[in-house]
Amino acid sequence: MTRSVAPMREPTYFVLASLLEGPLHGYAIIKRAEEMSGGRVRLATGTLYTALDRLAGDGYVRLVSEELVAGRIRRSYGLTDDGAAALRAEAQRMAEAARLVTGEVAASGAGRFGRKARTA
Amino acid sequence: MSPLERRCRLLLRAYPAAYRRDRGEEILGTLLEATPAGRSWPRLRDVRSLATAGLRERAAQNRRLTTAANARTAALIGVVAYLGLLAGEYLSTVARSELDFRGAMPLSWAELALLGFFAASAALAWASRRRVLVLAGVAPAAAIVCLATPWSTFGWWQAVPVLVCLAALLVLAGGAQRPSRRWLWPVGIICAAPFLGDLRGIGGRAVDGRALSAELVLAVVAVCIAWIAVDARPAIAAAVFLLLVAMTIFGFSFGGPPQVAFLAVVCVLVSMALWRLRRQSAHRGGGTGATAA
Repeated sequence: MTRSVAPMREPTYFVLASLLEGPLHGYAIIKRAEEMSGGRVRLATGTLYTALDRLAGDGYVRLVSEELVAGRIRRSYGLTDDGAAALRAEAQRMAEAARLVTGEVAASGAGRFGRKARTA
Repeated sequence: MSPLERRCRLLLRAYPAAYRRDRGEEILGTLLEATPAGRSWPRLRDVRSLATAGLRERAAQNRRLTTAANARTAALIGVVAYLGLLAGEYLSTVARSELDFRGAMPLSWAELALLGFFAASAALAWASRRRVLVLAGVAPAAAIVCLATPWSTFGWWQAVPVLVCLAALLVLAGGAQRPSRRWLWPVGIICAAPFLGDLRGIGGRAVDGRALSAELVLAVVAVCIAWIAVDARPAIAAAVFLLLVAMTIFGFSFGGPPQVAFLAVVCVLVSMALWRLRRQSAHRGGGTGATAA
């Protein structure tokens, strides 16, 4: 069941998406989100931990493991079932929103201003 | 510790201490990994995001308490800060006169009673409910002894604001939430400021100690007001403090244009601070902890 009703912000979406393949620690989430977004989403450290706190509070991510690396604690976070469901719902919402435009463009064969549609 | 780590640790101080204890090392590790090799400063966007997130986290601390509980804490601190300033003023005057005229003579009964009153009043703000009952007896007794002593140098003109403070403390003290010890910093600075009044020079340069003392108090008040976006309570404490100082300076003649202008400024400050405090506080229910942030 998804509790999220408002659209997710892009950094939040990519934080959740980065955890799809398994639990990651803070820096790995930053790198994965950057890779997945093609370099567009470059999470700052403060933004990441604010998002993780909020998502953990909402029950979308959970602490999976703690280890000591170079004398510092390193925590790994994983996606919960609610988090995965919210991510899927958001992806579906965006896909439907995109289809409104790409479907119409494909049907008309050209953009509003007479250019070829770009559907990338 | 590398210069980068030292600077990152400094940056983490934007977060409240409790948060740093829990997450500080983890965030520091991520921050160090995210900073490109060879840099001695974290990236600008990390600096900005950590400062913003840290201040937001500080603001969120108030959400454990209701607006009324937060306002009560702020008013308590404002009253204690004013009494701290009076105590500092009085102690610095006494110290000066002791040195100038009496040599090594002990303090008079009036002075001892007044010091007892100040100590008991300040303790009231932080005391638990049980101790408030004891202090509620000690503080008024000390005030009466002091004011009734014929050789008291604490004039009656100062008695009214002091008695108003005492009444306010007795009403406000002993709630479920007590102010945290972090509030002792601004109160301590205000209390110590009058001692700068005796300063005549620093490093061979002439200095106006009285002006420096007043500027230090005003600087603390300005910082409290500027902090309103993060935590509105210091601004409310500053407004209470300013009102009490004005009561001492103006007496009860608040009719003139400067006094009216001053009151208008304080009213605007209180309105803004309460508006912010409402947004920063819990809407219903209260905190269960014995110590407020």
